Amino acid sequence: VDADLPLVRAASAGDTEAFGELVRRYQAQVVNLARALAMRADAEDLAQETFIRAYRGIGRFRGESSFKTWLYRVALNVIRSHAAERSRWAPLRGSTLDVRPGESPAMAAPGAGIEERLLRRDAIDRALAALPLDLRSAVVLRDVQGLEYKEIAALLAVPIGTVESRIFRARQLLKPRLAGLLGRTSEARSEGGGRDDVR
Amino acid sequence: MTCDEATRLTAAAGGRELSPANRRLVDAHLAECGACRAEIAGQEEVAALLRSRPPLDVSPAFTRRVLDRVAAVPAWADVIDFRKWTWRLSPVAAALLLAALLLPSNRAATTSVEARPSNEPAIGIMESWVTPTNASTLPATALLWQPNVSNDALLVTVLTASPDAELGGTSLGR
Repeated sequence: VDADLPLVRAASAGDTEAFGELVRRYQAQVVNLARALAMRADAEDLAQETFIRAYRGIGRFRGESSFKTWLYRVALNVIRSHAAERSRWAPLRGSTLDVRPGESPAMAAPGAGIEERLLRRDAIDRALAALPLDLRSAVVLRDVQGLEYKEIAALLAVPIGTVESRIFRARQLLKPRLAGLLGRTSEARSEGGGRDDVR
Repeated sequence: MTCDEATRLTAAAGGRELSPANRRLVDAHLAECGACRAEIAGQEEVAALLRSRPPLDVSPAFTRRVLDRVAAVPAWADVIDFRKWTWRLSPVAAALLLAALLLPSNRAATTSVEARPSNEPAIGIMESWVTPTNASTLPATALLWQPNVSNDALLVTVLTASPDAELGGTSLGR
């Protein structure tokens, strides 16, 4: 049973507070999805657009999938349409990326630990941005957002085998781009004694 | 078992459970294939790094901003949502398409030079220029439309023509 369903029903009846609760539940995931997929400094704007569209379309939500899956589908549509729009203008701007090192507002936050986290995220996002959108979507939904393969297959409307091969290929392409960070990750993992299964 | 099969059944398999038989085959292959072990380890490393990506913090006012925009969405905005109307308006679109297809054939059947309505003088003037029956009655500017007119003849005609005389033989309703 979808735990969001009572809130969805209330929101579709016009209860904006119920919709606000849905926003609070998913805002972090949607903002980070927008940031990781679109590499936009204004990821929150894309996330806002996602929630506005979701609110306007919530009456058409039939409960055939979970609300989370439906919301992710809305987000992917928003991100794709913005990506398509940007790619049309990219030759004039010379780049499809908004974010430059140090430009993120949060980069100014004090403290070496925070700065390292931000640089790390920036490096990961840049490596992701270099992937084709279909590979990037699959690997972000799996490894960054933690969705199940079958959820990703439903979201991207492709067979699960396609999802698997896209994720596999994306990780292969990311490995050399993230070589500098991978060494540190391996050290940290061996110190912690943990092991991550590839799933 | 080949390397392709081994990686397909492990790193690319998306966490699906292997049958005991396949598990034995994969384990046997990995025990003797360093390349496959490295490939799988690389996949694990990248996946772990992506899982550890520090999340972007959402600004505290995010929810409020969304709700403010939601409140600003007028009630009629949903009414003009074209997706809602796409199928509802399909009969109208079909009727317009049918009318568009039928209208030109009706016009072609009923409209001729003789039957042309009197409120279309401009079309009549232009047609008479393009297909003259008597070149000496042409207005000067009509020469622009004629083939085989030399530049000199055109220049002389334009310089010597009277504007009133050019349009004298046409009916502009004045």
